[in-house]
Amino acid sequence: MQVAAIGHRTEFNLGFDGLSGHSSTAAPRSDMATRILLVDDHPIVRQGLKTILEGHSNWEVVGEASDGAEAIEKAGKLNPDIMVLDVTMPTMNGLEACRALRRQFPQLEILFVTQHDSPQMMREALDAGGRGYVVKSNAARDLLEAVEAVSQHRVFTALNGKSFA
Amino acid sequence: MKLRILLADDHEIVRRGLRSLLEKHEGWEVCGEASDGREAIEKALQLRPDVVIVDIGMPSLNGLETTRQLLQHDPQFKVIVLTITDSDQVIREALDAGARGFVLKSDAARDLVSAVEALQSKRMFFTPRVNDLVLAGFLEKGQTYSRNEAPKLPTLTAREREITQLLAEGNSSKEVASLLNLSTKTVETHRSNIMRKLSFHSIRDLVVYAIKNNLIQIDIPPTPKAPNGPTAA
Repeated sequence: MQVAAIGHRTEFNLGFDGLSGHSSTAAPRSDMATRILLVDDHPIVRQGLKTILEGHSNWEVVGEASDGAEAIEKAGKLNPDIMVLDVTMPTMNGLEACRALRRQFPQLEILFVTQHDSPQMMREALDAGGRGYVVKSNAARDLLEAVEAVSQHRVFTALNGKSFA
Repeated sequence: MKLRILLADDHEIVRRGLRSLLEKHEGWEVCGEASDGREAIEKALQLRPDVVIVDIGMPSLNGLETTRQLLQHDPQFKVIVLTITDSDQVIREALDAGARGFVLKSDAARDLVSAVEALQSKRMFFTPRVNDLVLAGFLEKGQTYSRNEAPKLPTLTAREREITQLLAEGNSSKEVASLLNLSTKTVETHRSNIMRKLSFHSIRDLVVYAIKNNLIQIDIPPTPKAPNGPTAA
């Protein structure tokens, strides 16, 4: 299953190269799409994230979760490529969830989207195994670029108006 | 004619979610968005929406103050307050400010449509927990809630509350003056009055006061745990 996921991702990258996400050789979206799981304790935030992400033809939001424990459960069921993960959540916060997820699902890339505009929190998030870190106040601006980078296994961080890919 | 709604929240991602939710409702349209209280007031006066949805925790001018000022401009504005906290104090302040709806952000996906529908029918809407709290207050304490009840911030004027928030957010007097189109001297005078009225001696006292009285909201990051520490079930 993991080999198949890697193969899909490789084909997806070729599809992106120079073609802005569109390719005459691209397989139908449901076969080629990068699968994204959204995790935030506020449904309205998840809705906002979904609205932005679903405008992208090669990305598919496959599920949602409202805390870290549910995120782990759904990662097992839905096999996402990327998880967009909040930090502050009830039951299990995003940092704890990230550590557990990286142990159980090493191929899964995690992009933190959080209120904490803090270099220290960002370092903790990356140390926990996150590949990206975006502040919620700038999420509408940074999210697409962040997901694109993380889907290609590149680190992407953005704090207080500064982006680092 | 469509019901026109103005959204005010400092997070665009939240505004997108709210817009997506509200525009699914036939007959409603989001006529504008604002990212802080001042912009919300400017756009409300310009666009004359039927309903204004304001987040409490906005920088520069918070949602409660925005609500007060909007209703001072025109009592016909109908305001729904969105908040992450449902403390008794916040609820009362929202009511004092003149809000006709009170919705928790965590429940917005469930309650916001009902809230707008209620305001559309000239009724008020408060999330169920708010109703429970207000009722409990009536029964247990024998209080009757009145719009004339003294607010929790009895000694500060509206301008002083505005300045308190800006100072607590870390702005200097010069920066506050620039934001409010006042002279630095005027801001300094207000600052002195605020400190005297509240018997404060330092800006730290002011920050604590602002947090306790919901003039600013703070994020509390999770406590880091050791990688092998216990995890929730």
